[in-house]
Amino acid sequence: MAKASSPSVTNLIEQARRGDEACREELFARCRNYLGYVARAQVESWLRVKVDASDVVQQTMMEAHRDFERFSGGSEKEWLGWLRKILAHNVADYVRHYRGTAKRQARREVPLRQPGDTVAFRGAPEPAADDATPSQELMRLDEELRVATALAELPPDYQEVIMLRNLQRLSFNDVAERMDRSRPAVQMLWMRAIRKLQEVIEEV
Amino acid sequence: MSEPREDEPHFEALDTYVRRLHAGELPDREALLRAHPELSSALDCLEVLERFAPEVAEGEDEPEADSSPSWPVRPEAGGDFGPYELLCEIGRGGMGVVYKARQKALDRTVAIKMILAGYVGSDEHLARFRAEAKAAAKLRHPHIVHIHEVGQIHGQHFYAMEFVDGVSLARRIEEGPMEIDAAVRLIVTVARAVDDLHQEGIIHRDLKPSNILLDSQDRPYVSDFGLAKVFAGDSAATATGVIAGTPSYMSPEQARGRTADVGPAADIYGLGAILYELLTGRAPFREDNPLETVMQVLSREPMLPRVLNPKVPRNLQVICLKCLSKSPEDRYASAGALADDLERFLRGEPLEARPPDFKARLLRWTRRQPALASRLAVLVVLYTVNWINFRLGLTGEISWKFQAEISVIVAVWIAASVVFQQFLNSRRWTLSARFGWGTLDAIMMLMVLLVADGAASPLVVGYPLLIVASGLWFRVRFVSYMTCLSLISYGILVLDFYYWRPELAEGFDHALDRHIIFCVALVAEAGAVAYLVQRVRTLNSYCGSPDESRG
Repeated sequence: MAKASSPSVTNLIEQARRGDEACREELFARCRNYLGYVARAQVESWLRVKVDASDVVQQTMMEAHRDFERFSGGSEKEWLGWLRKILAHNVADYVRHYRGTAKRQARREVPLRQPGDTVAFRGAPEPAADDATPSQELMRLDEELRVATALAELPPDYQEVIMLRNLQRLSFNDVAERMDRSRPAVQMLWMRAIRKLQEVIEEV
Repeated sequence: MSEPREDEPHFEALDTYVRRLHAGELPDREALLRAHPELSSALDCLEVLERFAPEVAEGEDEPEADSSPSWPVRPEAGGDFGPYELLCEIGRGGMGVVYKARQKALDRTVAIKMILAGYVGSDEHLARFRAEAKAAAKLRHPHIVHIHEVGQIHGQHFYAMEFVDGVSLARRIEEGPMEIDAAVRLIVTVARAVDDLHQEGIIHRDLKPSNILLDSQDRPYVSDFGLAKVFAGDSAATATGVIAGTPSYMSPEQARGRTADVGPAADIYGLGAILYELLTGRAPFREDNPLETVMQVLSREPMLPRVLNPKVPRNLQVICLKCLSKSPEDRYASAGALADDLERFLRGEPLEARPPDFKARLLRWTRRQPALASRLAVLVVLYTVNWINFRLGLTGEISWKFQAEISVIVAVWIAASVVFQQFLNSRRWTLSARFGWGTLDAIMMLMVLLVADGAASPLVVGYPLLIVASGLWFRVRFVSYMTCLSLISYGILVLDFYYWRPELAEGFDHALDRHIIFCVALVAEAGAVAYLVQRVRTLNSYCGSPDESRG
């Protein structure tokens, strides 16, 4: 991961809009972890079971790529907000599909898509090399993205406890049940996870 | 890695902070940092994580088309829902999601319960739901959660009710036992509120700890009456859905599915069930799967509260069990009468409820421990017949020695059965007690037969009986176990018949084939019983897991 030389999201958006493919890929790559956590938190909050939300993320990234021209904002906040909106649709679809309750409805934001021009988006490529983009202040990296990146570096059980307690807002009793451990144990685990997360954030 | 001990003081602080964030409040960061300046970056972390969680401003990028009523899109917290602004989710039940919300025009906090699309049944149900809600909305009571509005927005049925800032009684029970007097006072208040509901012609139908809310001063509020259950009537999703809920607090008449019979007495049963749980820490009936629980609700008596908690006064036990009577007529005539009696209990005055008479007590006792009762009945009858025979000498002279041996065996059998019943009552030992008791039965049967005429005695019919009875536990493995024991035991009798006491065979058919026929019949019988058990279990798992059966 690019360290002190990461360009800000604002910067990346600007470059990507001018047609810099590498910046565009980096912009998406950087949001992948973030979207992954948000997607899982949303889907699992509805379904109450552990699921693999990667399809939802994939679909969201694909649509964001496709409709990138429609995005008009410039700040990180607007960018993440836009992604979350697309994600919300996909989560609703996924949940519906998963429950098998209603027929999948035709998606609503099709107008921009011409028949046959589906963009095949196969995951984000590795971020561009350090020297490929102007060097920027580390702090410019949006808080959410930083935390998501850090979260992804934690051991799986740390990630899980934060996912359940903070992202899905389950009570410690429920977290204990879901993780099949005692309540004091998950509380301790949570404390450690938060501590570790702080440490990792400092390093990212 | 940080040491656990250092973490503990911070845990409280951070946990409180997260809970505030989850409740949608703005925690006082400054105050916390004054006390623990080192937590600054941890709080940053928690705040960012909170922004990951689903409820934050998750608006749709285009307004949801109203033309899709087949699946109304679930409103997201943080967004608007008609005249309400949804703040956060506070609960999730089988039938819907409850949100904390702000009614924008009046700027008041309310709770909104959304009914999941799958549970909205026929128009008739909707009409009933509306009618009940209308009746409920008219009601104003200090201990009943007030219904503000019932309606439908974007195809989503909902009702808006008073927001109670606190926890449910179910959560409170989890936290630990409640003082007996406090529990009784709580039930008095709830019973009075339920009585007022009944006066208005509303039946709650679903009284249980999770539907009683407690505010910060522990004042109870009855919530969720009637409304939700209207949907559980008989719409497609609920053929198994009725059982899919928690039948632990359901009255026998509801468990039987006779909706016409469900009256105020069902709520009195519910009050009794809540009281029972407050006193003992567990619901009157709670088995691993819903069907078994329903069967118990219908045919068994709950364990005596005093057995589970010796501190429960005898009078209170009488009141509690009167509420839990199987037949509605045996319960209190009204919730008010229950409250009166509980107050008499608190004042130490004589109760209206009489302890049950001998006959009723005997009946309840047998329903509480049918395994012991049936064994006692069989043993006592057989022993009595044997004793009369001995005194009158109907079938010739019987020796004192034989009579004494039989008496000792029967006495040991009864005493051991009583002990096993105690183990059976404790959750931890249930399984071992079941197998132990079965082993005891087989051994005692063998003893009796060895003392009596062995394989020549008509008492060998006890073996088929053992196998059939083992089927009542509904475990194939237990049936096989008892069958093996019976065969071994009978094998010993056969040895006895031919080698140890050849005199038995005098005047009796010598041929081996009758023993073989007997054993084959035992095995065949066991097969039939096991097959029956298997079928019941299949049915059971079908009813017990509605999600699978609903597909």
